[in-house]
Amino acid sequence: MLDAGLDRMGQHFQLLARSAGQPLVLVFARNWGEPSPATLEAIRAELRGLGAALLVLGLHSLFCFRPDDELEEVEPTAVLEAGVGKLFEQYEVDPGALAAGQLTLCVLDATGRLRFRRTADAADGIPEALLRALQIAGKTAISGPADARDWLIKRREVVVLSLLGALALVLADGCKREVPNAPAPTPAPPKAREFPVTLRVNGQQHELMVEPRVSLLDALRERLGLTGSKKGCDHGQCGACTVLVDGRRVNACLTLAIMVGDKPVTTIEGMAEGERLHPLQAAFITEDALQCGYCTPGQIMSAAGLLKENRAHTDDEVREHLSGNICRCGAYANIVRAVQSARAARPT
Amino acid sequence: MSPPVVGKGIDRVDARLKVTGQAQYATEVPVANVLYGVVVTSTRAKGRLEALDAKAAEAAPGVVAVITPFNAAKLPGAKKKGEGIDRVLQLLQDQDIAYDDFPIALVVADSLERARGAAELLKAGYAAQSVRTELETEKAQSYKPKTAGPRAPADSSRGNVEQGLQQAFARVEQTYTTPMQNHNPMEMHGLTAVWHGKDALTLYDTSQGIFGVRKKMSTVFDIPLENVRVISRYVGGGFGCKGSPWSHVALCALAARTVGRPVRLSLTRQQMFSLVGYRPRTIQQLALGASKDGKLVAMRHDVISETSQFDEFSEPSALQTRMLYDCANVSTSHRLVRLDVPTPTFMRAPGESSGTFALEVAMDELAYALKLDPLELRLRNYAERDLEEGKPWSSKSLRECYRQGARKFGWASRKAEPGAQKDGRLLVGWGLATATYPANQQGSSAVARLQRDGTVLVQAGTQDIGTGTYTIMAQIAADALGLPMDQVRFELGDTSMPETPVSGGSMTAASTGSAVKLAALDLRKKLLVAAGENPMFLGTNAQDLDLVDGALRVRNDANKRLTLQELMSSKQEPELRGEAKTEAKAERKSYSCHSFGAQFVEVKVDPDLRQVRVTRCVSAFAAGKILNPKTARSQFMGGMVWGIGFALHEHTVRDRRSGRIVTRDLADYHVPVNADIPELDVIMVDEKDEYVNEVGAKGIGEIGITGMAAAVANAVFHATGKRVRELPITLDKLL
Amino acid sequence: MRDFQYVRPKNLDEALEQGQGARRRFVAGGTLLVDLLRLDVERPESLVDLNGVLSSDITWDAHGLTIGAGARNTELAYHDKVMAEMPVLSEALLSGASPQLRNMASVGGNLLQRTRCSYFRDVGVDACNKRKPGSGCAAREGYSRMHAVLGVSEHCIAAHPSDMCVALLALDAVVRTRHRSGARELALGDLHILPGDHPELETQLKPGEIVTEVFVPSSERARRSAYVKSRDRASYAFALASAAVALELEGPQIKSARIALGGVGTKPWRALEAEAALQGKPATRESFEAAARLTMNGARATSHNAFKLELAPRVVVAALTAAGSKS
Repeated sequence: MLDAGLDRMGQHFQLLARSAGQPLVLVFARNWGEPSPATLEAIRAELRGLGAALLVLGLHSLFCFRPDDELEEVEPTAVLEAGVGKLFEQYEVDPGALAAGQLTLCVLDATGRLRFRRTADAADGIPEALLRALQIAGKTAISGPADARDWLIKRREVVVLSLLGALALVLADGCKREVPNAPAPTPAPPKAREFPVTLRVNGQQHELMVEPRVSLLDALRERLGLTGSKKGCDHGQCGACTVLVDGRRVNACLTLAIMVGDKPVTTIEGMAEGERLHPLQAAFITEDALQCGYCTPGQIMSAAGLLKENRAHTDDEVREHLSGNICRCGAYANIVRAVQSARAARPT
Repeated sequence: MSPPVVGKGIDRVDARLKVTGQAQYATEVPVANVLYGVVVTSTRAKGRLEALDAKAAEAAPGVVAVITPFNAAKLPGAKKKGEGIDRVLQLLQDQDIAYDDFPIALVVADSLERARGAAELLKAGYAAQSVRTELETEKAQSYKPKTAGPRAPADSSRGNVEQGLQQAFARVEQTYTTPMQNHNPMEMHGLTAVWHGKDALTLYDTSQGIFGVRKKMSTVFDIPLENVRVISRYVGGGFGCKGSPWSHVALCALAARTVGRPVRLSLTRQQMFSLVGYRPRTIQQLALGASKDGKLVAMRHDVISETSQFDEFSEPSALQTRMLYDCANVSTSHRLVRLDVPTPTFMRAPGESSGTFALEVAMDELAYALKLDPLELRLRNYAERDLEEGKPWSSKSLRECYRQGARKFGWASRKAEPGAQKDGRLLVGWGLATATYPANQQGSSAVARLQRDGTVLVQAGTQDIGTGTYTIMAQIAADALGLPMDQVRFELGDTSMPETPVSGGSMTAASTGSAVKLAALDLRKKLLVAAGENPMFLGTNAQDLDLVDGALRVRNDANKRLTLQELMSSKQEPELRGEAKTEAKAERKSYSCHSFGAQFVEVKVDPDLRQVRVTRCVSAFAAGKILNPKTARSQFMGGMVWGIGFALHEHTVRDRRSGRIVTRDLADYHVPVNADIPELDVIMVDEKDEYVNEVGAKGIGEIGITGMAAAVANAVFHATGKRVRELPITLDKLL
Repeated sequence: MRDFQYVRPKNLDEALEQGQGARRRFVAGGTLLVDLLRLDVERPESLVDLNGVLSSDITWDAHGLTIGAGARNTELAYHDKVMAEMPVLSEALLSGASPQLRNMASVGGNLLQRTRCSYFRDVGVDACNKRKPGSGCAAREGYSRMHAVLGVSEHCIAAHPSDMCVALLALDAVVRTRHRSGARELALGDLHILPGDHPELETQLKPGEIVTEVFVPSSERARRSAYVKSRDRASYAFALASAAVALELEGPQIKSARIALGGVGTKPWRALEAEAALQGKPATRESFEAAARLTMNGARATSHNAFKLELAPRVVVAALTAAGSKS
C-alpha cells in the first residue's frame, strides 16, 4: 500500500531502507540540538547497546543517525512533513508540547513493534534528555535476565516486517501500535557480592560497587570508561596496563580495585593538561615511539614513573628500567629516544 | 602546488589519539549494557567432548548463557572454507576435538569477572585419544601441498642440481630448524558483536582483513553480505594473526544472537597460542655447492613443515632460494605433515623469515668452506635477473645496500677467524645476511570526497596495524590533489568504505596507495572541471587552471582565486567524489618485483656465561619510493627487532605427550624486551621503480625480519666458533 | 577467578584471627596471589589484606638491617644501607621482575613466592602434585628446561624462582613470624622446605602464621657480596641459574664464604660444600672454579635442564669474581 510519496520518502530515508528489519529509536523533539562530544559519544554507546539506529523527528527537521556514521540531515519536503505529521498523531505526540521542549522517545524492535516509550522534559537540553531516556530504555530492555530471554525468544519467532512497511502501515491505515504487556517478572538470579569503593582517578572521585576480584584495570576500562590503560596479558607480564598509584608505577591488572583505597591513581587520560600534551606524549609523537599504539599508554606511564624515580639516566639504564613494558612492534629504540628527549624538556 | 608531502617524515596523524589513550580498539568502542563472553577451551588435544556439566556455571551470578556443542544453534555455513586465506573454523557444532585448547564452550555474563568465574565451574568429560604433534617424529608422513604459501608451486627445479653438487669444489649440506612461534600482538584478539534484528550484524573487531571477516560472517550465518558491517579503526598489532577471521569472531556473534544483546569478547593471552594461528615449525635441508672461485653451482632447499588435520597452511621457506642468487641449478620443495595441532597461519614474512635463516646461514658456512669473506660471496653470486621467473627485476639496488651497509658498519675491518675479535673479555662477532621480500600488489579501491568545507575526506576500507596507513594515504592523496596535509583526511577500517585487500604481504601501500592516488587524481580532474563551470573562471582554459595551496587559481592571473570551500558552496551537491578501482599494474607481469636489503649485526658474547647480546645493527634496505621516512624507519626497525627475537628468544613449546602448549604466556614465551635491543641503524637506499605499482613503493613491513636471524646466527658463529642451526640460539646451545 | 571475601584487619591480632583456616590467603602486594587467582590455581575463600598491618620500615642499627615484611622490593633495593652494607641484596632485587612489579611486591610476599613451573600454573594439566597431591608430576618427563636439579624428588622438580631469597640466604637472614600461639624466628634456610613426597607444602609456616620481619645481620662478609643471574633475555625473565655470594677476606685469603644458588633448586640453595672448600683458599679464579664444581654434587638433571650442571658453576665463578673484586 505504499504510494509514490512514501516511495520518495523511502529514497530519502536511506537509513530506514538499510535498517529494514532492524530496531529503531524514534525521537520526537523540537530539534536535534548540539550535543557535546561526550554526550554524542554516550548516545552512540546506547544506540550500539540497543543495536538500533536513531531517527529524530523535529517540527521542521529530520535526522537519521547510525552510531558509526555521521548524522544525516534529511531535507524536509511536503510529503515528508505530512508523513511525519501522521507519525506525531499515531505516537500521540503533541507538537505544542514538543515546541515547549518536551521529548518523546520510542524504541521499536526489529519487527516494528513498540517496546518502550518515554516522555521527558528537555529543560537542560535536548541531547542530555535524549541520552537519559536512551539510558533508561537500555536498562529497561535488559531488566531481569529471565524477562529479556522471554522477549528475545519471542522476537526470533515473530515474522519480520520491514520497518518501512511498518511505518507505511502506520501512515496509511493508521493502526495503532500497542505497547505489549510487560512479561511477569521472574525471580532474579543470585547477585554477586559487591562492595562500595571510591577510586580517585586523574583528580576525580568515582564511587563504584565492585566484587573483590575486580582488578583496577578492569574497573578503569569496563566501569569507568577509561580505556586508555590496556590489557596485554592480565598477568603482570607485559606492562601495557601500567598506571601510577600514589605516583608509583604499577601493573593495574594485578591490583585489586578494592585494595587501592584513597591513593590517587593517574592514567594516560590524566597526563595531558587540556589540549597541552605532557612532554612525554609530545616526544613519543615526534620520535615516532609508537606504531600500533597499544603498548603506548603503558610505556608513557612507565616512563613518567621512571622520570620521577630519577634513577635511570643513560640510554642503557633507561632500557633496563623500561624492560617491564613490552612493545611487540619493536619501537624500543625510538621509545628510549623519546624518554631522553622528554627528560631534557622537563627535568625533574 | 603545495610542496610534496610524500617522502617527508611527517608525524603519524593518529599519534595524538594513541598517546592520549583516546584511540578506541575493538573491545573499547563504547557499547552500553554490553554482555561479556568468554571462550572456554579443551584440556585434551584429540577425541571427543563426551559431556559438559554446565549446571554450576549457569547458576552462577550474572550468567546469561552457557553455549556448548550440546545446545549451540546450528550454523549453516560453519564448516565452509572460502578462498585464499580463509580458514576452517571451530564453532561448537559438534563434539570432536582436533587440537588442545579447542573451543568447547562460550560463557556469557553481565561482567567479565562473572563470565570468567563461571567458566571455571564447567566440568568437561572427554574420550581422549593419543596425539601426534611432533614434526621430527612424524616427518616421514609428509605430503606435497597444493602450493607453497598461497600461490607458488610447492616444488621447483631448474638445471641439474645433483650434477652441480657432485662437481662442486666446496659443499655445504646441513639441516636447519626453526621453532613454532606465536605472533602475540600486544592487543589480544577480541571484538564486540551487535545484531540489528535477525540478520544484520555489526562487528567492532581488531582485524587486518575486515572484508574477509565480513564475508565469513555472511557465510557462517547465511545472511546477506551487505547486512554485515565490520569496523576496525585501530588494531593493536597483527603481524599476520589478524588476517584471517578466526573461530572466536563467529562465536562472539553467535553468542550475541543467542542472547539477543551485544556481546564483547576478548581472548586471553593463553588462548592466543592456539586459537589464532602461529608460525609452524620447519625442518629445512639446504645443500649448496660452489666452484673454487666462489660461484654457486648448485642449490637445493627442501622444507618440511606442519599443518592441522583439517586445514592446510604451508610456510613457504624455500621461495627466496629460487630467486636470490645467480645459480643455474636450483631445486626446492615444500612438504607438510598433518599433526594434531591447530592450523598455522602467516606470521611476519611467512617463508622468507624462516627460509632466509637457513639459506643465509648456509651461505655463511659456504663462505667459510671457501675461505671467502661472506660479503664477497654474496657479491660474486649477485643475480642480475630473476632466473626462476626468467624476468628482469623491476628494480634492484642490493649492491648499493651491501655497499652502504658495509661501510656504515665497518665490515671491511672484520677478521675472518671466529673468536679473533674481542671487547675486553667479551667475544665479538660480526655477521651479515641478505634480506628480501616480494613486492606484491593486489586490486583495491578508494574514494576521495571533497566536502562542503573545502577539505577532502579520502576513504578506503583498509587497515592500519601500526604500519602508518592513516598517514601515508593522506600524504599520497594530498600530493595527488596538490593540497596541504591539513586539508586532507584519510579514514579506514570500515566495510562501508571501498573494498581493499587484507593488510598483509606488505602490500597495503602498493595496493591501496595506488587506489588512493588514482581516486585523488580522479577527484582533481572533476574538481577542475567543476571549477571551469564556476563564474570566477568563465572564459579560462581548462589547462590554465591549477590547484595551489588548497585554492584554485589561473596560471598567469593572480587575481582569479577560488577556495575549495567557495567552489563547493556554489554547488548543489554536498560533495564531489573521485573514485578508483585498481588492479595490479599491468607492467608488473613483465618484471620480477622484490625489495632487497643487507643486514649487518654485531654480537658480544660472555665467554663464560655465554649470554649473547646484540650490540650493533646496521641494515640497508632498498624498497622503492619511501613514502614517509619516519614511519618507514619504524617499520624496518620493527622487523629487525622481530629478527633478533627470532634468532635468540622466540620458541613455543608443545608437550609431546599431551599436545598442550607449555609456554603459554608472555613470561614463558620470550619476545625481546627493551634491554635486548641496541641502537638500530637503518639506511634507506634511494630506489626508483616505475613498474611495481602506481606509487612506486614496494612494501616494507616484513623485509626487516628477513635475513636478520641469519645475521645474528652468523655473528654468534663469528664470536664463538659454534655454528647453531636450530633456533632459538639460547645460551645452553653455546655452553 | 572465583569469587572470594575480602577482609582488612586493622592490626596484627585481628590479622592472626582472620588468617585462620586453610582457605584464607594473606595478601600484601598481590603480584603473586592475583596472578594465581586469575589462573584458578589459588581458590581461597577469603583474602586477608595485610597492608594496614605489616611494617614497611627498613631500619639499620649496629646489629644489622631489620626489614618490615610490608616493605616493597623497590625500597629495599635502593635503601642506602642495603646498597652499601649488603649489595648482593640490592643486586638480586633489581635483577628480578620489572620496576612495576618491584614497586608492588612486598618482602614478605617475595619470601613466599611460588614456582613458575608451567605445569603447576596450568590447571588444564591434571598431573601436578603441588596442586593436587597424588596426581603425579607432568614436568619430570615433560618440558623441564626451567626446572630444578637440586633438591628434586620423584614428586616434584619445580624450581624456586626468587632472587631476593637467594641473596638473603647468602646473608644468613632470619625470618621473624607471628602466630596466634606466639612468635618465633627461623633461619631463612629453614623457612623453605624440600618437596619430598609433599610438594604441596613449601614452607614451615603454619596456617595463619604471618611473616612480620626479616633480619639481616651486618658483617664484613655481607659488604663484599654480589649477585649474578643468567637468563634467556636481558631483563624481565626468571633465572636459568643465579648465585648470591659473600666473601670474608683476610688479605688475599678467603676466611669464610657464603654461596647460595637460584634457579636450580626446589628451594633457595646453600652450597655448603663449596663454601667449605673456599675456606682458607686464595681468592683466585682457580679456587672459585674448584669450589663451583662442587655445587652440582647430588644434582639430578633431565635432558632439558642438564645444561644447568654446566651453567650454574660458571655463574658461581662469575659471582665470586665480582664479589672478590669489591673493596
